[in-house]
Amino acid sequence: MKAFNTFVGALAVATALTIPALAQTTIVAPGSSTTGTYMDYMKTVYDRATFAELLQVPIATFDKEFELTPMAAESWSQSADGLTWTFKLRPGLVWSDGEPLTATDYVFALQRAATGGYDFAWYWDFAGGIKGWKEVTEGTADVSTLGLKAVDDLTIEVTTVAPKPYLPSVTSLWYPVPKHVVDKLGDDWALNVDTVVTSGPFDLESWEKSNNAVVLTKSDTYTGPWQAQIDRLEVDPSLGAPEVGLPAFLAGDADYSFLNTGQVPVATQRYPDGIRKNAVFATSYISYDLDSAPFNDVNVRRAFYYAVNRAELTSTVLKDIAIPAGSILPPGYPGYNPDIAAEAVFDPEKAKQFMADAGFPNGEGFPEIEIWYREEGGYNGAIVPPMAQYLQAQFKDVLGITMNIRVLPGADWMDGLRNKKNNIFIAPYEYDYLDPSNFYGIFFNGGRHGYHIAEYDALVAKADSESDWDTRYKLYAEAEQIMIDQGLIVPLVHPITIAVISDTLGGDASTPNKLGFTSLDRLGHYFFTHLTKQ
Amino acid sequence: MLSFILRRLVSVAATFIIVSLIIFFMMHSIPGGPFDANDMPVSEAVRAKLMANLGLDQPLYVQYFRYMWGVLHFDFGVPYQSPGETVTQLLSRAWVPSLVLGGLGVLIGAPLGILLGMAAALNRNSWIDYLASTLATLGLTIPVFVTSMLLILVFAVWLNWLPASGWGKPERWILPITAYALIPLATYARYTRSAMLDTLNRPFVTVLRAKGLTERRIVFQHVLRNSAIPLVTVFLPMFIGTATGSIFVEAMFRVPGLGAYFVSSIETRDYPLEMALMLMITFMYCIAYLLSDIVYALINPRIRVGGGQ
Repeated sequence: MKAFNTFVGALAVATALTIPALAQTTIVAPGSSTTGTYMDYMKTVYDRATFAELLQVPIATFDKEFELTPMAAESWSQSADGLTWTFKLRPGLVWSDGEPLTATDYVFALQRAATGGYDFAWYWDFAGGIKGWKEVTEGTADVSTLGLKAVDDLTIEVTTVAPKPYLPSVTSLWYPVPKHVVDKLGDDWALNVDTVVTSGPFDLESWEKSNNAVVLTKSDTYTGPWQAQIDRLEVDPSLGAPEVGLPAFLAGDADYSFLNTGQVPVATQRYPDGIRKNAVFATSYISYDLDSAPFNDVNVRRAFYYAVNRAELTSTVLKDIAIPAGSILPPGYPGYNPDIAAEAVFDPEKAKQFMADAGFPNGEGFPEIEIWYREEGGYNGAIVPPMAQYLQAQFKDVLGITMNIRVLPGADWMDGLRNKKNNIFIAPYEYDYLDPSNFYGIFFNGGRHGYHIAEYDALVAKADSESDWDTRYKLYAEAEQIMIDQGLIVPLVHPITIAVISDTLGGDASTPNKLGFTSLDRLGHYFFTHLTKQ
Repeated sequence: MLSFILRRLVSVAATFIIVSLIIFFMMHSIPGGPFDANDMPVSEAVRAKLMANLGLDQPLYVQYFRYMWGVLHFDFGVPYQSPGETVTQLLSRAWVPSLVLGGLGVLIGAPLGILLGMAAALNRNSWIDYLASTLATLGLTIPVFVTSMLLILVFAVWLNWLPASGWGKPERWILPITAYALIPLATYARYTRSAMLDTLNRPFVTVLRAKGLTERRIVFQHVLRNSAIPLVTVFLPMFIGTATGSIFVEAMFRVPGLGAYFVSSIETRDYPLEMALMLMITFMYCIAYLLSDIVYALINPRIRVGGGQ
């Protein structure tokens, strides 16, 4: 018996030693952008290199059920006046070059962002509300006046202009920057593989600049939560287009691929167990120039609100790559209110009545309008063009009006929106952090659309700093009711993405959450650290 | 001949300057700038800082002269979308896969196309002719992304002989080069067929036949040479197409080449890269047509310039 035990023990040890060495797991995944400048999320967000964020550890992040989870921070607390948050970092975190990761690296990251022309600087004002942020980014105050302090190596103090009960959610986009490296190399540290240092679950092995493809490897220095369970992650943004990704997946060259509408039926038939739906927490809506005719009339706007058959839109022309949107907040998102969403019904009679009240019975006398949407790829690229055509037909049918469609490059569309060069737009928006203030903020006090609705602004401002969560959500719901009553927007659809995954993929990340969604497309920190491969 | 070349060189320089002016001002007349495309606007202070860093706060004519002065010194600036390198470095890096893909595509496709066209012309109205014409017509009418898709489906997904896409290893080159080669193949097959038929019907061929030359000698030594003019006309511009890359083939097969930069530089308002790419194409077309003219003169004395003598 003893000999047998010894034999079994030896076998177990031998297996344990050899299997990891043999089973070098590599996952080949699609990326999203074929161009990227800096491998540094805190230098540029819009132009960052592929998965720059996976290389660093954020203060906190979201898990599969969209719950906030501490990452670099171990805990946090809010002061009695609600204005100061204290984050305690986990001891023992290090950079891949062996230097300790400290509170200074986080504070430095934001100080540099505030002064260095960071393209995401708006976020730390709009979402973070950090004291002095606006003044420092505009150059009217010194960086030392920012409400940020490294109290000691493991303690960060953040002071905000108003109480920010949701600040911990905001820190999901707060990554450290290696001050000791930037002091030596400047921003160029993030331009090539040899000088990039990491603090997160993955290291950078290679970066092909021609298509922004990267190879990441499991970090052997990262000690925080959510360690990688795979050895290598090859990300190729050229696989991001389903037209390229699916053939590669079928040939066994990629472990999963996103699908376009035409591919969904084929893939569903062939891989009934491999189909995954991914929440992206986004909303497509119609917005207006509220100051010019005909949309300065609330009746016209309300007519449009009731003239959209969202269920038909998503199930027919969009082939279920989006779900109907009744609220600016997507289902499952914090603060989502089903009662508000239920108000957005398709009611052609009501729509016609509002048009008549506005002085355009059956659309008579209504000027020809042109709706502007922006040209883009990804899920919006699949959704918006057919949706625009559907709306065109529906508005003709229900409201009796002629709406032309114009597609513009992103920059021109944004320019048109900001400078009110047109009066009606299809606007897509995707969340930046999981809190209702994110979506309500886009219409707050000017915001993205130049809306100034005093009553709405007051409610949102109050809700933003309210520390009782039930009251907060109630205030946001009241604010959204104002949006509905005044017809400020027409919520259209919430996009989702559909992907097919290989049956060799496993782990917690490969199965849907309670709402039926996986996170192949978002929440990369959760997804890639909870994915395994046989 | 020399004065002809000199005159042409002067016109190349003039074309170059005119085109550079047009491109530069068209590029800047597109609304928006490199920092406008985002969901949330960059604040004015941040934008001003970024624009000043790139010299975009200067008047346009200053920017133009500054850029062209750099161009004269082979300095094309730093691409906004890849700040770690110069435009020249980026081009030399991304150009390699495009050149391999396009170069091999033409070098394989063109001779095959010529052979196919010859076979068709020499066997007029036979099954070879019909096959060649069908192939050529399909090659020209089916978009290259469709043929790419078919190649991937057959050779990667069904037969599993070759990787579906990617670059780096030679076995990954086969499908994209095949897809690419179909274009010159089809073009050349059609041009060769019609040019050869045209020549074969000329009286001098009858004379050669009457003189008792072998058919092989007639075809290769006389007919082919006399049919070469249209082939030269299409060859050089086609070679430029290869050097600039095929956006579709590169995208379908994940080739990290130059093609995508033509689109992304315009989309992201990457002025230095956009300008460099356009100037590069202009320059290459100028040179290609110059070379074409010289080659015409060499292979056909009848159209040699000033050839009345």
